Amino acid sequence: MKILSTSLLILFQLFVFGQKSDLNGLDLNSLITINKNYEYYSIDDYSKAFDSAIVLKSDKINFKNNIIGNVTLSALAKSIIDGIDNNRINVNSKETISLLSKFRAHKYFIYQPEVNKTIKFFGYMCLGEYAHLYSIIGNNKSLLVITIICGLVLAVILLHVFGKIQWRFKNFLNKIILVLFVLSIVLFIGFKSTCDCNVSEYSFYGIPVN
Amino acid sequence: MILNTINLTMSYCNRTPKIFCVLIFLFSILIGKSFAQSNIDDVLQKKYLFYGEAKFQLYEFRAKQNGKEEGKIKIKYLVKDAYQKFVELNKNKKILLVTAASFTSAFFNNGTPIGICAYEGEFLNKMPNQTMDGLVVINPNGLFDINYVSDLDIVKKECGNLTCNHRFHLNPRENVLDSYYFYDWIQKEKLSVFQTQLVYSHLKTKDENFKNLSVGVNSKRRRFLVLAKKDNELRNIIVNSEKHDYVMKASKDVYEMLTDNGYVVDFILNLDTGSKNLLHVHNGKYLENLRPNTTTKLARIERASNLIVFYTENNTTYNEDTIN
Repeated sequence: MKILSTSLLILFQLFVFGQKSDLNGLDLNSLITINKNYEYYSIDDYSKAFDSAIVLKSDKINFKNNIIGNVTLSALAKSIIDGIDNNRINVNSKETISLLSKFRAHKYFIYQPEVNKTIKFFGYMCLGEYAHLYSIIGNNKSLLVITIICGLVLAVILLHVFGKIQWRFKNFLNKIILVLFVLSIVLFIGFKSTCDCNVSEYSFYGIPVN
Repeated sequence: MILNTINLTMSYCNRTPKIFCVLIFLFSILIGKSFAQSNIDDVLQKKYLFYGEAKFQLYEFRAKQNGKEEGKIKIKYLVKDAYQKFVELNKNKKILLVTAASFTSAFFNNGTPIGICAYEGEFLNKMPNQTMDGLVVINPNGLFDINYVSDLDIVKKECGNLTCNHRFHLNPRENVLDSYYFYDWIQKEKLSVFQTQLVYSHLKTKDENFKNLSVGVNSKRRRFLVLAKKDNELRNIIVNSEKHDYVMKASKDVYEMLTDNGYVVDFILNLDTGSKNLLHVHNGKYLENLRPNTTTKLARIERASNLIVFYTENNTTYNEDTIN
């Protein structure tokens, strides 16, 4: 009797759960409903749907659930990137950042905009890539104009410091130049010593830049 | 090769005048060098072609060498500790060319590949980039093959002359069910895959391909991976341009140049020439860095976030090789 019941149980499990690791035998129509429109989903709805998809994806017994979980994850990820592109989802909100990190843990890197030029500039400065910065400035007309203007301002300051230009408020200007000079040195040293941990692809000292 | 030459010459020297030994030794080295060079030429053809004022360097790989032995050249896509993987590969394979491949969000560290990316069945990113239309699966048996490249702008119903519903033509960017099939296939077969910009696809008309030539920036050098045929034989060509240009303008020039020279172009894919722009090519003696004087240390192979490597099985002819 025990053998008969065990055999029946095994047969039942094979029939119900023992599906092949492909989509044969799976009702594809059931998956079409997954690819639905998530237009009205809030971040919280997405988060709950993500958690449900992960539970299904982790089902090692019923392979159908595994497939549904995987397809749902892809559908949610696609919907979120559409939402970001349409400004329906605020990419810098805490809830979104948390949701995107959950997806990243499962290898869905949903939001990867091009690294901002300002971040790149400070990044190269952080790495001490001054020759590369020089070549970037040389190849960019607007940056070149800004650099030339900065150079001219610096030249005027130097002329002032060495007494070649007589200003009306000489003492006051001297104080301002001294403060700016000390401040820039302090900022530069502070930046160089802390930039490693505080400048990343999409944030500058905790400020999102994307 | 050189060691063998020295041994042979020294054994001969014990029996003949020294002046003959020196002459024979020098002659042998010359023969050995030309032999090594011709071996490289058999598998990798280097040439310059022009289109208008633009000059392009071409590094061409053929599916067959001397009309035989298909699949002699193989390709690997290295990502995630790419340099360490490259060093390991270099220990027992003959590396002919290595270049930066796909795009990453990398800046300070390895970063994350942009778009779908997997290394030998392990996914690093499952999220398709919504704008990049080229999906490249590395052919484990040889050169990049037309059947392993997908144009993600083409949905199944419009897949032209290709066999629709085939796993090679799944579209994980546009169809979530396809994404399941695709990921499953890549994982089971332990394949590598990356996503990049498909700047020319034979599945679209020429006008569709080159409708907007001045998109993006014109401050970058350009490099492309071309899948083409000549004399009915598959070719993989790395086309390098030192000229700063728009990506679509440069790709159109490449298409016209290759067509004018008798190639039938199937796909042109854009390769990364940003801060991690690098290109090393075997010169017959060693793997030569063709961009040694970059202004940034990010463009060193040690800092590469991903690499495409063309290689053959190791050949004792090249024991003296080093990486430059």
